[in-house]
Amino acid sequence: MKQAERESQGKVKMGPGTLYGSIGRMLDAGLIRESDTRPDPDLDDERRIYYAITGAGRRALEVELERYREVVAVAADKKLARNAFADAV
Amino acid sequence: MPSDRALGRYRRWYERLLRLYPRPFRQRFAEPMAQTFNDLARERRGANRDLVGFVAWAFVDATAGIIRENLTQMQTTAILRWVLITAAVLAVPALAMVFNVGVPDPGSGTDGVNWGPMDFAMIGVLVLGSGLLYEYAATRSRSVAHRAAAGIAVAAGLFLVWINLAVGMMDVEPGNLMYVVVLLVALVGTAIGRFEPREASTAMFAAAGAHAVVAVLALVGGLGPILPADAFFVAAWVASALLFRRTGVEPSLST
Repeated sequence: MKQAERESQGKVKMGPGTLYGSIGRMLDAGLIRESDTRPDPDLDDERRIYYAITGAGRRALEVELERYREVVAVAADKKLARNAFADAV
Repeated sequence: MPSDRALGRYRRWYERLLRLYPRPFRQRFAEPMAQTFNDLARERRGANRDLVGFVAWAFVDATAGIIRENLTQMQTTAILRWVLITAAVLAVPALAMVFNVGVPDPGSGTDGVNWGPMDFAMIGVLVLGSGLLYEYAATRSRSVAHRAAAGIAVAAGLFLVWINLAVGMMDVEPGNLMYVVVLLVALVGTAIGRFEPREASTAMFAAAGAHAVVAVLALVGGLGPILPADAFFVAAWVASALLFRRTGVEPSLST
């Protein structure tokens, strides 16, 4: 949650309800799975559950990113919002 | 700086709120959610950041998640059924207005049925909300008695609100606001107990008691209550309580 907020520069703020709802849906859809891989013991916390993206999840992510890229390309091509696409595509 | 006791209180309230998630979700995620909430709250306290605002936001976030997960849990057919029922209920006054049906009411200055957009919206939200609340309550048990108890309780609440919005059960208007207390007792009591039979039975008996007190206060205060109507609602709350209690005694058929 903190990483999402940091990497989005504060634009994405999610609480435990949103986070775990998303985790539940991604687990049910087979996009992520629980992982046995633990990080460096100095960074680890035994209460934590770790998740890893699955092959299906990776393919879904690639498809979704490609879709976003196409939408942005069309909008940039049509110059729908000049300032928004100054650095785009 | 908020004390450990305050933090503990917030965590307990949060854990109680998490009990409203559907059972499968709760079994998977309630503990990590509570732990995450606790960790974040401790961090904010340690950094001297606003804790009350964070707690409020976390509660709103959890409430949204509870609604979303319970709607996902409900069968789509159940949701559609209540959307259709709501549409059918709203069609009655709509058609009455189109075909000019209804008894003219000189006192109100209207020519019969005369609903505005807000009336349709309010009743639509009431009927659909009550239907979805019943579906949520009905999933707690497969017992016929439990479903009947939930149905009676939800119907009593719905009609209590509807009657008071339409005409009011007391001659003196502000007095009708006392029925809000009855509804809160019923809603909060069953929510805390997640419609589990014993807790719901207690909540319904408490609602019956609250309703009786409201009627007596209205009588003593000269607010002009309609006692037969109050007696009907008290009987409904008691009937619901007895059915919930019966469910609590039967072998558990909970899902």
